[in-house]
Amino acid sequence: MNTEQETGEKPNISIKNLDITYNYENDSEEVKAARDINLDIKNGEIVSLVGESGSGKSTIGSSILNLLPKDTLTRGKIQLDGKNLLELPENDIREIRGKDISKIFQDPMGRLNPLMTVEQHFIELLNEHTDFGKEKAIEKSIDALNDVGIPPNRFEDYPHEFSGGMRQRIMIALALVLNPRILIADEATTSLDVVVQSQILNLLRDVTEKYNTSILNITHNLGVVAEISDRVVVLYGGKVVEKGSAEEIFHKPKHPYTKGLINSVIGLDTEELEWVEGTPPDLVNPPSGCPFHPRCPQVMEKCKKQFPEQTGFNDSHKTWCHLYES
Amino acid sequence: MNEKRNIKLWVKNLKKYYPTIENPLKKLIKGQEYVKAVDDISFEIKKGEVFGLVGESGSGKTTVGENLLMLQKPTEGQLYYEINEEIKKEILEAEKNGNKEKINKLNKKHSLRKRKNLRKLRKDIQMIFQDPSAALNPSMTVFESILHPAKIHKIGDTKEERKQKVYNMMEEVGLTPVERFKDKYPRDLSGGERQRVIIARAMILEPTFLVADEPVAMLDMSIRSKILNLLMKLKEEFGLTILFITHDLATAKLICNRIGIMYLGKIMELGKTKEIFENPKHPYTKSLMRAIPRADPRERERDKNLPEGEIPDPIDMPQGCRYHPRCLEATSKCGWGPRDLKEHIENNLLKIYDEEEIEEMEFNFKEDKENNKLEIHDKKEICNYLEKKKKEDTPLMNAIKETNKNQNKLTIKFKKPKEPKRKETETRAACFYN
Ligand SMILES: Nc1ncnc2c1ncn2[C@@H]1O[C@H](COP(=O)(O)OP(=O)(O)OP(=O)(O)O)[C@@H](O)[C@H]1O
Ligand SMILES: Nc1ncnc2c1ncn2[C@@H]1O[C@H](COP(=O)(O)OP(=O)(O)OP(=O)(O)O)[C@@H](O)[C@H]1O
Ligand code: SF4
Ligand SMILES: [Mg+2]
Ligand SMILES: [Mg+2]
Repeated sequence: MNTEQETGEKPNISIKNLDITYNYENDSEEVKAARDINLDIKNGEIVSLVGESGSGKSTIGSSILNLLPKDTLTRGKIQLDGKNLLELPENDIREIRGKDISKIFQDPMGRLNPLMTVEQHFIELLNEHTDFGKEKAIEKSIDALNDVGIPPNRFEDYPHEFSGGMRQRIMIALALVLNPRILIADEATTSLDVVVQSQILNLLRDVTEKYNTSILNITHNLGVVAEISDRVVVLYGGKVVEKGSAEEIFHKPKHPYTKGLINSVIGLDTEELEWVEGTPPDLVNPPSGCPFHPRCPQVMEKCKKQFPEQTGFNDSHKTWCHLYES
Repeated sequence: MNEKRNIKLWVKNLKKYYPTIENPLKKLIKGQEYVKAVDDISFEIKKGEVFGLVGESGSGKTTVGENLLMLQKPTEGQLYYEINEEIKKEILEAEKNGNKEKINKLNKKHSLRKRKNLRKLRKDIQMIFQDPSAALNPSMTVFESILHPAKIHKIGDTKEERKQKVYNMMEEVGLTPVERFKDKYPRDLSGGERQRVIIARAMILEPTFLVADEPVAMLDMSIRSKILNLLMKLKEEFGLTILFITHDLATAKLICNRIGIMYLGKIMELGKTKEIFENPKHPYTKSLMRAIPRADPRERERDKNLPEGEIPDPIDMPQGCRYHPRCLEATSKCGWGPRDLKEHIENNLLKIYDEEEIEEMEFNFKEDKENNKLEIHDKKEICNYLEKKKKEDTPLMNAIKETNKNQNKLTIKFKKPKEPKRKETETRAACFYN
C-alpha cells in the first residue's frame, strides 16, 4: 500500500511493507503476525508500539534483528544505512546485534544465561564487539549497572539471585553499555516500581539526547507511553490502525480500537473496569476487511469487505478506518 | 471450613536472608554477609480480601510469596494459616510469657512450617508466578499445561468434562480461538499469551487462596481489565482470598482492600487502600504516589520530586530508618551516621577538588560503625569544610552528637541510630513522624 512520507530529516531506521508469517510452509498453520507494516524512526526519536496482547509487537521488534524462528516468512524492507536488514547474511547481522541495534527482551529470565554471572554477561558482550581490556570492560559495565541502580557488589551474582525487576535492569544495562544507535525496548520497565521506572525513563531520554539513539518502545503501559513517546503507533491484529504524536493519540484518538484501548486504561480515578468487548482476532484466518470489524461498535457494511485506505489528518496523524474516508 | 477462621494468613516477623557467596579471604575479614531480602515483616491477610504488596523493585515481594509456599525456607519467623483473633492472641501471649511448650503446640496446629499444615495450604492455594516463561514447561502444549493440574487434582469427573473445563478457562482468559491455541507450545506464544496460560492453569483448580505476582503486567489494558474483573467475580462469589503483588498502583487502588508498601525488605506502611491513597503517611509511599505515570502526555513535565540518591544495597543496609538517605522529609533522628557523612563529603568536595585528589583523601576516613563515628585524618580541607557546614541546619549536621579535634584527627560522633517500627495496631507507617 502506501509508504509513508515523513517530513523533515532522514529516518534512522525505516520499515517498509513488512509482512511476517510464522510457520511458513511447515506442517502447522500459518500465523500472519504482521501485515504491511510501515514505520520510520528518526535519530533520537522515541516511537512507542502499542496494541493488544498477541497483535504482533514483539514479532516486529524481533524481525529487526533477524531473531525470528527459521520457518518464518519475512517480506518487505527494514532499512538501515541503505541496507535491507532482512537480506543481510547472519554474520553481518551478528555484528550489528548488541552494538548498533540492541534489544531489551520481554522475558529477562529466558534471555539471561542462568549459568553466567552478571559480570560474565557483560564481558562476553564487550569482548565480542570491542577491544577493551578487562579493566576497561569492567569499568564500563559497572557504570552501566550503576545507571540502572544495581550496586557493584552484586556484579558476581547469578541471574536467579536477582528480583524480577533487577534482572530487567540488568538487561537494560546490557542493552545500553555500547551506546547503540537503535534500541528496541520490549516491555522494558514492566517489573519496576514507579520510582525506578521514572529514573529509567529519564535515562532512556538522556540516551536519545546524548547519543541520538532511536528507540522503539513496545509496551502495554500507556502511562509510560504518554510519558516518553514522541510518536505512537497502534497495532491491531498484525496491522497498523493508527499513528500519531503522543498528544494526538491520547487526546484525539480516531480509530475505534485506539479509543477502546485508551478507555480501558486503569488510572487512579478509575472506578469501574472497562474493556473492548469481543475476542482477539484469529491470525491464522484474519478477519476480512478491517481486522477490528467483528468487535467494532461502529462497524459498517464495507468494513467487512475492504481494508480501509489511509486517512491523514496532518503530517503525523493517520488512521486506517472507513469512518474517516471521504 | 471453619467460618470463624477469618484470618487466612498471618505472617509474623518473617525474615529471609540469602548468604552471599564471597571469596574466603573477604569472608574471613568481614564475616558472612547476607542479602536481607525480607527483614522482619508482619502482616495478616483476612479471609476473602485482596491484600496488595507493592513497593520497590527488589524489596522482597516475590520472596514473601515464595516463603509463604515454603518454596524458600524462612530464615526466621512464622506463618500461620487459617486462624482467628483468639488463636493469634494465644500465640502472642505464650510468646510474652516465654511458654515454649504452648508455642510448640500452637505452631504444630497452625504453622506452615509444619508439614501437615503446609499440605493443607498447598491444596487450597495457587500461585501465578512473575516470570511466565520460566514458569511454563516448554514441552507442554497450552492444553496440556492447563489440563495437567486439573488431572492431578481430579477436577471434573470425566475426560470430556475436564477438556470442556480447559476450553472454558481458555475462553475466559482470551486464548481464542481455542482450536488455534490449544496445541501451541510456549515458545510460539506472545508474552501476554504465556501469562494467560499461567492464569488459566491457576484458576482451573478453583483455589480459595491465590498468590498473584504481577499477574497482569504483560497484558494490554483491555484484557487486563477483563481478567481483573474475573478475579473480582471469583472473590465476590466464592470468597477467593488474594495476595496481589504489583507495581501498578492504580490497579492496586481499584482491587485491593488493604495494601502494604515495601522498601528494602521492610513494610514501610500498611493500611486500608483508600486511606493510604487519600492520605499517604510514609515519605516513601508519597514518593511512589508522585511517580505514578499518567496516561496523558500533557502531564509529562509535572514535578515528580523523585527521592534522592541511589537505591541502597540490601547487603549493607543503611542504619536507623533504612529509607533515610533518600528521604525528602528526614530529620536528624532518622539514623544518620559515619557512612552518610563520608558520602556527603565525597560528593560535595568533588565540586572543589578533582577526582584524583579526592581518591587520595578517601584513605583518610575511618568508619567506626560500632560507635557510630567517623574519624578523619590529616586533611585540612575537609576539616575546614566541615567547620563551615556544621553551622547549617541540615538533618545530617544536626545528627552530630559531638566533634573532637585532636591535632590532625577529627572525630565525629553521631547519635545512636534507632529504627522506626510500625506497631501493628497503633501506627500505619514505619516512620518517626507518622
Ligand atoms: N514462533 C511462533 N509460531 C507461531 N505463532 C507465533 C510464534 N510467535 C508468536 N506467534 C503468534 O504471533 C502473534 C503475535 O505475537 P507477538 O509475540 O508478536 O505478540 P505481542 O504483540 O508482542 O503480544 P504481547 O503483548 O502479548 O507480548 C501471537 O498471536 C502469537 O501467538
Ligand atoms: N535465590 C536468591 N539468592 C540470593 N538473593 C536473592 C535470591 N532471590 C532473591 N534475592 C534477592 O532478594 C532481594 C528481594 O528479591 P525479590 O525477588 O523478593 O524482590 P521483589 O520485591 O519481588 O522485586 P521485583 O519487584 O523487582 O520483582 C533482591 O535483592 C534479590 O536480589
Ligand atoms: S474500519 Fe469499520 S470496523 Fe474498522 S474500525 Fe473503522 S468503523 Fe470500525
Ligand atoms: Mg510481546
Ligand atoms: Mg518480584
